[in-house]
Amino acid sequence: MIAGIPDSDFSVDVHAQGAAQVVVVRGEVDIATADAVRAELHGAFERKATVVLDLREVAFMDTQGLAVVIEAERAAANDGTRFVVARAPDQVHRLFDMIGLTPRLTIVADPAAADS
Amino acid sequence: VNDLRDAAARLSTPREVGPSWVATAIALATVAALTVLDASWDEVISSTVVIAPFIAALFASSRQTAFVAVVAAASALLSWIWNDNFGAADYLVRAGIVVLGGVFAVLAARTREGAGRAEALGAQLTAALSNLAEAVVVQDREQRLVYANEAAAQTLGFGSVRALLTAPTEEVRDLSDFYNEDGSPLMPEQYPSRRVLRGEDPPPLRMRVIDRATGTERWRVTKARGARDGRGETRLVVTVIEDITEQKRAELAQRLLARAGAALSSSLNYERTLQEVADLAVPELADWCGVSIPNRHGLIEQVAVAHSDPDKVAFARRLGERYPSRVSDEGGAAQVLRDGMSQLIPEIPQELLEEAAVDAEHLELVRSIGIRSGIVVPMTAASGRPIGVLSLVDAESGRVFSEADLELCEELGRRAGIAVENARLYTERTMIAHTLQRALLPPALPDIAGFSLSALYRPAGEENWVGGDFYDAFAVRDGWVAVVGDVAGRGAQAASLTAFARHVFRTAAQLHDDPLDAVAYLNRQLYDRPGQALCTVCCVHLRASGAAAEATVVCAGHPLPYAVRQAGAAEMVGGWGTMLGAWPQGGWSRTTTTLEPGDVLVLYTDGVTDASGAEDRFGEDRLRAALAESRDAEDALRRIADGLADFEEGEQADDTAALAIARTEPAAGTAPRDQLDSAA
Repeated sequence: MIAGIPDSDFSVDVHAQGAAQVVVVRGEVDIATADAVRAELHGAFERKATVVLDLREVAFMDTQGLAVVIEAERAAANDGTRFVVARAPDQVHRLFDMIGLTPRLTIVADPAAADS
Repeated sequence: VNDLRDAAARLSTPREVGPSWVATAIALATVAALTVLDASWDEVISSTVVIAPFIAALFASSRQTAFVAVVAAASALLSWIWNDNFGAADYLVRAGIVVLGGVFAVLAARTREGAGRAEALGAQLTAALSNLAEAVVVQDREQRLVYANEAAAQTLGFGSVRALLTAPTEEVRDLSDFYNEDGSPLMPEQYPSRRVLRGEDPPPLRMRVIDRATGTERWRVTKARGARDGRGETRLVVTVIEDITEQKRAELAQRLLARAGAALSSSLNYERTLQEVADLAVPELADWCGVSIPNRHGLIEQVAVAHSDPDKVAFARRLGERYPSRVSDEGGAAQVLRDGMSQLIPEIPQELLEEAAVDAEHLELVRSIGIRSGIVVPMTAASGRPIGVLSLVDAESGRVFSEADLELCEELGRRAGIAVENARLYTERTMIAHTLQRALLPPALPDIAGFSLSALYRPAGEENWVGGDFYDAFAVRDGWVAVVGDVAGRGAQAASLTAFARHVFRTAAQLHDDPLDAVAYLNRQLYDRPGQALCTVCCVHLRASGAAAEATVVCAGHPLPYAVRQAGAAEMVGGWGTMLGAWPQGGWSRTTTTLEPGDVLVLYTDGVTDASGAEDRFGEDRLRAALAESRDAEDALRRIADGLADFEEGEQADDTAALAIARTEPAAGTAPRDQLDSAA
């Protein structure tokens, strides 16, 4: 464990929602946890479904976490998969604005709206 | 234990003739005698009835039996007296015979019982002792052996108990050499039997015994107790000798391997570690232990040597230096290094020493060690390749190595080999990493007239000198550019990307007048790299403008810098822009601000704001508060460092970099153009 903050409240789960694969991330996404999110997203893309990344309960994200989202966005753009992000809380969403990621993403407030 | 149980079972069956059989035999004999004497049937029957119980009592083995016999005889006599017509004198004689017979019978029974008990006890003891797995010897006051069991004869190296009992004491002693547990020779006066004779009560003694003829090593525990007579004087000494060689071997192996494992994993300095391992092996496993590793010059270098006597260690070192082994040598360590097969030579013949010696002097020196037995095992790397050898020698102890010793040494060699390999790999890789990192480290900040610059750089991780954060400051055509950046990723991959980003940005900024062009160029370069190469930068283009300076800030996916004006509050400067390397195009903006003398501009990476405290992250608010009232570049960075030190909990998770730029008094007569030329 490299990060100084305990990641006990971090979790990543995947479930199907209609034709979509929903990857739900909770807690902090940093150097210690980014790989777990990357792996789940990779699996979701493999299934060729719409992929929803639910970040509503992400408390913190660093460069490593942002890199995972960018990678997913690029992967979706490359193979034509629909990639939707359920909006992160403001302090994390601000990072998306800061690095110019927001305009490149389909962002929804509620993952249930992602099917349509 | 089983032997004892067998003995006990045998002893519980008494060896005695049954009184009923004796009585029957005597009765029949009496009948025969009286018949011959032509006695009447009455006399025959009555005599038999009276005499038989007496005779039976004589042979009875216990007091109870005799008593019963006498009572039976008495009652028989009474009935006889009443029913007969003998005279009074006859009655008296008969009564006298009966009483005397009874007394004799009782006495005989008691004696018999006592003798029987002693005999049975003796038999019991003998049977018990002779069946004991432990050797038992009994000595008298003059230390002569008066008793020894089978195990004792065997333990002391004699074919039979008789041979042992008839052998002179010196002969028994001279068959072996005796040592204490610590390896020192055992003196005869230390023997427990001698101490008992001196009136002491010695504790059990553990000793190492080496058979002089075969060199076999055994371990024994000896316990002695005295047998005293009525006056309290020790008449006999009973000594019990238990062989604990197997137990001792297992203990030694376990302890040696555990300690060696601990030593081997404790340090990456393998030469010191190997010396520790060699020290562990003496004197219990061997008299000498040495570790040799081939070097690049083809010599087999003795990196460790151990003996309980330091003078002998020094001698061996000198010998090794004077007559070094070579990997090209035949046999010995070189052979083991070549084929990885361990060697056990229980008895080293003189010819072998002669063969191995370089010259007469060498032979003499080697002979002076008195080598008797030797083991050479490879130290093997994880791949099975021998990377060194472990040599063990038995000399002055007279001990000879066994197969069990060889197995233990082989295991020791395997463990040492893996530890050495790991230590070497680690050392080599650390050296390579440090060499590379040194080349990647941020350069010393240049002296810029009219500005003062200060940098903070803290890569995360112990062996890490270079992280994903970087800073740089360099001259451009019309001024200076300062930059702070952060690449995504970790380890060597991040370090190489950091170096790439720094160099590309420096070149681009020097070629393009507009920092926006430099940022766009770096973005393209990163985007075109295979894989994902993400980077954020914040750069400032500095130009003197009278006493003040103009600072043009461009941020690409990076937190905005703070300006502290005249030691006042810290305020953010600039606007956000697209992270570099993620997409082919992006949007970036220029913000130009004026830096008056005394103003400080602080660029930093998210390692500062993301630093973890007990409950939350350092964050922008704490950073802004820490920077307030910064008087100059150094002061600003000190405030950040102090703020982080107070706030942070646990290990630093992320790389941290910050660069502070303060406008000082403008430099007189120094044109930016000249600075570029001098820097170029």
